[in-house]
Amino acid sequence: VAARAGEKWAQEALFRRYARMVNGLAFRLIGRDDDVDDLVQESFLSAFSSLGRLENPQAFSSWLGSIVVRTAHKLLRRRRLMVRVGLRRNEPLDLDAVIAPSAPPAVALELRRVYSTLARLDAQARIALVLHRVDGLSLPAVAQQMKISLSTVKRRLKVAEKLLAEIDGADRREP
Amino acid sequence: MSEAQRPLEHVRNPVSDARVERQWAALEAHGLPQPSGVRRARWLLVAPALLGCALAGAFAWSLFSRPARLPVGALVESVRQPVAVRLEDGSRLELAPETRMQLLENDARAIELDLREGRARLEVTHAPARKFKVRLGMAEVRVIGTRFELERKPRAGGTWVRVSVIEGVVELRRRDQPDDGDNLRRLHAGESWSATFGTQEQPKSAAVPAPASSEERALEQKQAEDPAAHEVQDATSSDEAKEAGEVAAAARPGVSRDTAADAGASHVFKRASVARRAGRMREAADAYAALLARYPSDARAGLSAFELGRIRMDALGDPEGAIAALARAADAGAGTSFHEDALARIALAYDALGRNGACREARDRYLAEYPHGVHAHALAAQCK
Repeated sequence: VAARAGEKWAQEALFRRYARMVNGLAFRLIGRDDDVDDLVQESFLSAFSSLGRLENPQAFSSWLGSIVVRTAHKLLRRRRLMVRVGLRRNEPLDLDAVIAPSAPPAVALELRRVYSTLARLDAQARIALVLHRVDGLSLPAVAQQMKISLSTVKRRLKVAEKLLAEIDGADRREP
Repeated sequence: MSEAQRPLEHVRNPVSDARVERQWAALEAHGLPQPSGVRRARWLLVAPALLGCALAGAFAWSLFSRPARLPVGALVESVRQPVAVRLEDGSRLELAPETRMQLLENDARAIELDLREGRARLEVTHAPARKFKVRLGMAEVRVIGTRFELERKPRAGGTWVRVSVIEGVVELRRRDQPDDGDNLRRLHAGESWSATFGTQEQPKSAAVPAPASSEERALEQKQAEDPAAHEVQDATSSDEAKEAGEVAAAARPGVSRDTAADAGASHVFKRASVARRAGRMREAADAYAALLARYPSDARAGLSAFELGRIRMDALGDPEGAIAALARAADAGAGTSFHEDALARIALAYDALGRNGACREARDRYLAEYPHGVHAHALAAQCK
């Protein structure tokens, strides 16, 4: 209630409570560290300015997550556009910086597959893939977080899965 | 898929406490936005320049002998600054500038207020056994547990009133008509109602509630004779001066006790936050403890208890003291942003003390309330 009334101390309390969650989600979605701070800042600014529209304060975490997803979508689209017009290089992800060394081999392999595919997907497909394959969200939950329809999620994931299968096939063909 | 096999658990999270602090500093430097709902209710916050000093000037009722209880007949009045008052049942009244509101009834069964003039926002605590009503000219607003705004202005030939519901539901009735279904209107969240009544403010029909009692009139008269009780302190600009002003306001006779307490708590909380950010953890802990001792019912008390527990646990090596503070934080309610962390930390603190029974109990409480919580995986391995 205090944060909704614009009380700074309460906004700080919310920030400190959810900063780790937002940083983690932001990093998983974009896969690199250099844009995380901007994404976190934009997400919290957006959340604080629209707190009054949050109908159920108990759902703050999920609501904030959807804001991070939306903000990441905008950032990824912006980045992709900059790459297209030559203002930015499409640098490959450093997978060792993404995957924790403690990851079991099967999990590390799955994460490598997913993150090496991301650069070739559009913003919506890559977010859907990360939320589904990495965060483990169900398809309806992905749709809810992304504020898109379930059928759109399925279409986006189909594209991503096809690409994953192509990469797997190419790996198998290599000696 | 087991927890260990979830990819989510094995992606790095390159965040640190220092980075979180940097991010918060960047947010503050950018300028924290006001929620859009608050922007619409700018009259509550007045101008940004005044907001920083909102607590410096306030008006309050001068007749209550005990700080926690407003007597029947108390008239809360604001002049140039908004005034906030919390009733015993936890309900909160926020009066915009130039507003007068009188307490007509205040006991366990009923609370009744009369908005005499101006605008007010009310956050009413839900209490099934207690009726909560507000008179608004010839209208009456009945509340169950909700947030809403009221406004009353003199208009040529009468009085204009408005009711806007932010959360929950209120019932409206005309006080000069029978209390039956035809005279009831329900307003839901997002809905507003307004009307202009004629100059005949005091209805003569038998169905109308009686005007103020002789005791109320005596109280009001006494108040009218003592206008000095509602003095406003001028705003200052710098943070330092503002904090000094808040403390002065807190100590000042005649200033609303609710507002003054809020100013004092705000000052102590800021002092604690500054010390914490600067790494002066002992000083921060002392300030949080002082806030809890002096302002136990302040809105920041729960968060202060949590921060105190966190500091005692992480920086001062005092898990025993941390448990006491964290338990208090957890008691602030499941709806608080720190409730989950407080419960998790209690279990960890007991674990650090080697008190396995208490640790298991605290862990089980956490897992019962947050079976899929962010600490569930880590806590499951505790309390061996």
